[in-house]
Amino acid sequence: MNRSPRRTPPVAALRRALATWLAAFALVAGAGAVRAQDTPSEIRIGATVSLSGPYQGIVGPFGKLASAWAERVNAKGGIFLKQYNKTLPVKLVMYDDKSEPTTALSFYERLATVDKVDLFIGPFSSGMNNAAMQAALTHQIPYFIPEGNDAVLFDTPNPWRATATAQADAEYQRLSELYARLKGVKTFAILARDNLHEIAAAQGFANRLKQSGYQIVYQDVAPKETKDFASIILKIKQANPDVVSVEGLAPPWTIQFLKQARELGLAPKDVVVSHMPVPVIRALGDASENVIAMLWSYEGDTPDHRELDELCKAAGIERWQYSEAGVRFVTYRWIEEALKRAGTLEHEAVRKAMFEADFTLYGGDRVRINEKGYGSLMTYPMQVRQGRLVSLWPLEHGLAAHAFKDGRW
Amino acid sequence: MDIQSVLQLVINGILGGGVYALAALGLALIFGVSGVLNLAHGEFLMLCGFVTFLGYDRLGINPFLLVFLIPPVFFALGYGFERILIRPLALRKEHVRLASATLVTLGAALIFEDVASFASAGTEFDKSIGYFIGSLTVGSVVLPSLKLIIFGLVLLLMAQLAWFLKYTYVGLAVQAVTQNARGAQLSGVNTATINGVAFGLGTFLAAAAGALEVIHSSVSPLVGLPLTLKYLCIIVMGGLGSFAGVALGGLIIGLSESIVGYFTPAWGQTVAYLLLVGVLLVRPKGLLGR
Repeated sequence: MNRSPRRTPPVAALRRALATWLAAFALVAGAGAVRAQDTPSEIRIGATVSLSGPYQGIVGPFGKLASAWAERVNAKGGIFLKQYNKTLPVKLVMYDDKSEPTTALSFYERLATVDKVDLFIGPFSSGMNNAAMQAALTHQIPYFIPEGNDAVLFDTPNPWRATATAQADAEYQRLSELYARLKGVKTFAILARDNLHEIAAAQGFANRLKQSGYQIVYQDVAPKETKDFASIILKIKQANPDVVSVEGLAPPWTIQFLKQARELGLAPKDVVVSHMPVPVIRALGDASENVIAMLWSYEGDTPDHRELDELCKAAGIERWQYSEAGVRFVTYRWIEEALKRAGTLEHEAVRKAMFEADFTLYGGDRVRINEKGYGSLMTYPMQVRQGRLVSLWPLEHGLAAHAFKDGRW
Repeated sequence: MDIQSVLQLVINGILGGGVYALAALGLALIFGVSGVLNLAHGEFLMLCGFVTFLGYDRLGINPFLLVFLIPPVFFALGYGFERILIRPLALRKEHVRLASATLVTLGAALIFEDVASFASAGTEFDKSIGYFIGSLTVGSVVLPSLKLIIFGLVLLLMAQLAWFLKYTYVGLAVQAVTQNARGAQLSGVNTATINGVAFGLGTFLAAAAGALEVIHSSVSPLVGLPLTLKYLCIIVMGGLGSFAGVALGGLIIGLSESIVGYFTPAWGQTVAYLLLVGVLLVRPKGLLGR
């Protein structure tokens, strides 16, 4: 019997051919998609800035500062990432966190899940970062903290966060060095606003002074809501310190204290206000003359100084007007270093490079990150002269330039 | 602690309590007449503080002159607030009316707060007038001149309010409605209008307190609700319906903040609420409540 070969029905053959073709297409398209996903077109950086709320007076212009940095990087073509053999532009996604930790956290969640950013720049202050950096841990995204250096941020395990600044209790180190060499000062009064950073920084200052043989005649913490400082000022007057130091991140709080100190005749030899952005100087007017402050940069003429000044100019501010502008600048430099070192946007590689970054600033200050996540950057002492902050650093220059306030408001 | 320090704390407390008492009187007046707890009361203080700041900062007008110029405008705002948002609820059952009205004022408070926050974006969050007058010193006791002037203005406004309530027809009508609204209505008092006047007067007092607050201290968009709660403490502590009790409550809060703040700043702000609980346990009607 002549058996004819088994034939596939024409419709079934057509179906099989179509299925094969579709499978092949899906494979090719999928591979293409994977490749496209592997080669990003931009570096997406997510951040929140306090454009409103109590911190607005201290970091309000930093949205513009970040945009100025991104424009500057992009004007040079972007940042070269070896894995893609491409220079990618920086794309910033920013929101106003209203100076509220819970609002900040919700925006960082959004940045991770909706905006799909490659890395985070944290908000202002330890308290805000303590809330917001949970998003970094949850979504495993590298988190660069600009201002936030309290132990509570680094005692809990979270390998995705780090800061370029030294621990909060070392923040007054350079000012302590200056006082150690100044004559005529023996006693200190230290008041801190009831907030994570302020308490730690003030305690660090007190410890350093005690180690250097100074006497702390008054030390206390006042609630964030305090508006009437009369009782506190009375107690400080009774302690009769040579130096009164006020540690407060929120300008309104600091302004109230200083205005009332002047009104109630508190007249120490020196007044130290750790965070003294231009709104505080403006609110005090002539009374701000010779107040000591601290800044994350100092006057100089290195390429870094010039670059920082240009960024600030583009943001419509001057470097001395906002003490934290210097640390933002360092954070941007650190991000560039880390991305170049990682050569990719893969989160784990960027995280690793974030810790390995090692660079110098202002012609000599080295910035490194230790295994806990703290950096090595410290503040520089400054002093108000005719409505602007002038540098009391390097140390020898500071000793010569320093002038006591001597109770003159 | 020496006697001069005690004297200094008492002076600071009394001077600080004056503005509290002034704003709390406004809240008590509105509550006494209409039965509505106006949770937007502190917001009017905040808004007037902002306007005073702008008048000084942008137009260069003396802030003490603004204390007399701006609050009358807020009388009209308060009257309009009652007319537009509260009066439409008048025909509802009493308990529904009071609950709805309180919720309406809460909503208004949140809206005012958000609008002020939005308007403040890009400028200093806390508005504060950099006004300074040298203080007087008696022995080692400092008498802050600015606070003394402000306290004097508070006393002047309180005296004017007392005169208004005692010697004018509208003032007597306000008192009548506070004591017995139905009785006042049967005697020919237009209670709807008097409710509006009470809102206007209460808002006027809050606005005056706001103008004084921004001269000496500062106001921010978020200051309203916490202040309203503090004023509520003062009027409950002093005794609902007693204006003298409210003035006394304000001074007690000022004094207690001053004295407690000296020993422990952390508890200085909380003491108002602790005192309220203490007073209510001993005298549930408040210190001078009937």
